[in-house]
Amino acid sequence: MEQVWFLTRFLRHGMLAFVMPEVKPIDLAIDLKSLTKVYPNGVQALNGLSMRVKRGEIYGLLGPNGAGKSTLIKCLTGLVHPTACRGTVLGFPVGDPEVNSLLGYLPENASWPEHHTAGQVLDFAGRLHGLVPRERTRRVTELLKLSGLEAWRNDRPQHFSKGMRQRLGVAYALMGNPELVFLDEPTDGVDPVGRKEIRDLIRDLKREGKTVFVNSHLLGELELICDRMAILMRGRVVRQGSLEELTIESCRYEIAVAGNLIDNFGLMDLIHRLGGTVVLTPDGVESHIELPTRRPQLVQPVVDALRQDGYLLLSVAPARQSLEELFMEAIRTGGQFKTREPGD
Amino acid sequence: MSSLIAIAYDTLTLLCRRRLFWLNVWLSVVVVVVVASMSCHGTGWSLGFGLKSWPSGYLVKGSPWESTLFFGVVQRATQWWVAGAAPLLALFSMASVVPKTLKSGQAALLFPKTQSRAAVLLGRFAGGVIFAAIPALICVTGLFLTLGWRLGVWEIRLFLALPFALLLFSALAAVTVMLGVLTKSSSASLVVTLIFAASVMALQDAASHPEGAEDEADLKGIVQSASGGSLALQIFTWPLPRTHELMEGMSRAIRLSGPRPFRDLVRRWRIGNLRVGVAAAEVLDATAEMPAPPVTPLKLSEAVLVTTGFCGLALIAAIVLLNRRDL
Repeated sequence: MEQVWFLTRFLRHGMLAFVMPEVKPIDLAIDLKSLTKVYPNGVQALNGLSMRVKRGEIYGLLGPNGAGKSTLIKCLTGLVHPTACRGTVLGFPVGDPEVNSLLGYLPENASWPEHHTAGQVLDFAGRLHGLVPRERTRRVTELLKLSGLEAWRNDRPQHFSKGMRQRLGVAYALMGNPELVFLDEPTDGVDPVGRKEIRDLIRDLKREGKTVFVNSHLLGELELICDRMAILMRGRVVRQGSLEELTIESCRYEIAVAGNLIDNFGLMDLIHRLGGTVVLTPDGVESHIELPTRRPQLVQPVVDALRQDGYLLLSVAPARQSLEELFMEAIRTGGQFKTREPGD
Repeated sequence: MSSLIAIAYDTLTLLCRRRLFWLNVWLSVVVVVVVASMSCHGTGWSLGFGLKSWPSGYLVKGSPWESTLFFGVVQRATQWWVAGAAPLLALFSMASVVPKTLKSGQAALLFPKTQSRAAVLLGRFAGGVIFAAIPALICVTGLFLTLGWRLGVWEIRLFLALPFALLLFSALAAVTVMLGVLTKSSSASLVVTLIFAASVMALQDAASHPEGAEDEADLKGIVQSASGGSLALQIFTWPLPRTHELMEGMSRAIRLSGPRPFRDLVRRWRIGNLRVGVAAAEVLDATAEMPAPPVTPLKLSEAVLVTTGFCGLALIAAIVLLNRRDL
């Protein structure tokens, strides 16, 4: 069989198959320096995309429809051949089939084979990974329990609800005990309880040292579980980092005050000089001040002035953009984010 | 290797759940039962385990015509069913396997779990060949037992029909797999494979009968003249699967010939005063292959090698096509 694989490698890489070095594992699960994919119909799905995913982290991928998210995952799992690529997955060149045994993948619209029950689907995955029968049986039982499908072991996935199929997909992806798991919309169609279970499962995977790459439209879900994330637009990563890093530009202090501040010219002048804004509630009994800073020292003069003028402070709290707001801003601005001076 | 075996096993279970498989199996059983239901007695012969009897002066128990009858029928059942219709039915089932595998929902589940795309294709192909072997094996085993039961002849060489039948099936299956990758369509791959098979048989028949081609059949004559002569045709058909030679080789390998020619037996068949056997013998003559140069062991080895090589090339072409394709 080695010869068959070598033949495949030779057909894929040509003479390079003889000299391709054995790649050593490194600290990055995914290290893409430039990934481009142009489909034969001329559509450019990925445009020199670069991305770094550390081992052992939960990484989220956001982007509007057509941003290239699915193409990216397909390139990383070897389903689609990149037009040009410099980068590695778990230390192997992108598209190298040898990495497949280390990957788990839940596709977005999995089409389950009609001739298998849930248990047989997982058993088949175990066979593909070359597990011995005893290990396969143990793992199938374990994963059915983990995905809450023990009672449906002998039922066919065609009769499952969307949520159950998703849970089966997650179990299928985990069958070979992969190091890197790609989950494409894992909570799509899953009820709130099931979502929480999948979130917990993803956290458990992280605790086991696995890297999880999640693509989801449910931003709240990503916000809850992801260590870092990237926003993809028109085939490029426009932002990448932890939620804190991504929303640092939007850090602000929000002060709620009883009464109308609009007529207090001295205070309004101070707030404007700090770059802040004041919004009066429609009933005119509360004013909300927003100061675009993450430094509490810069808020003190405003608090002092409010106290001096006898206003009742209802709340003073630091605030930042939610992931949804960040995403919507990316959509609105086409990936061009406003920036502030560092340390501001 | 483990993924190849897993995919072959998966293909086998997938195909065995189809209705066409059971139709194939049941028809194989029917062929065996019909052959087994024939018997000769003191005054003639009967069909359907004695349900319908025909008196005969020569076709009686213990006569040379009895073994001629059984050998002739088993020979034709092997040629027409085991190496003909049964693999064709199996091909109908198998044609949809590769196109369905390449659909995005299934491809995304299967391919990232395997070390190479070649393993998926080879597994599907191997599973298909094993699948085709099941009804063929049932039929051959049944015919073997029938010969033993009715004549006391345990003709183990009958099982030699299996490798020949499977080699012929493999060549067609490899073409179907390649077309499946190319077109991603079950019906297109099946139709083109059938056209290919018919063309190969017609071309090779024409190439192996240079003198009689114009007289024997219009099609053969047309093919002959269109190809610009026998030598050109032989060169053109050389790399194609050797259906004619393999069938001939199979007949010689299983060596089922009675003490008298089977055709003579058919010619003698009467129903009442009606000499139906003469008409039946005419039909047999018309459908029989034209006399061709005998297949020598060297020629047969060449046919096996060329057909295997063709099969391998078709599979390599399928693998190359698949490796270049986005799924």
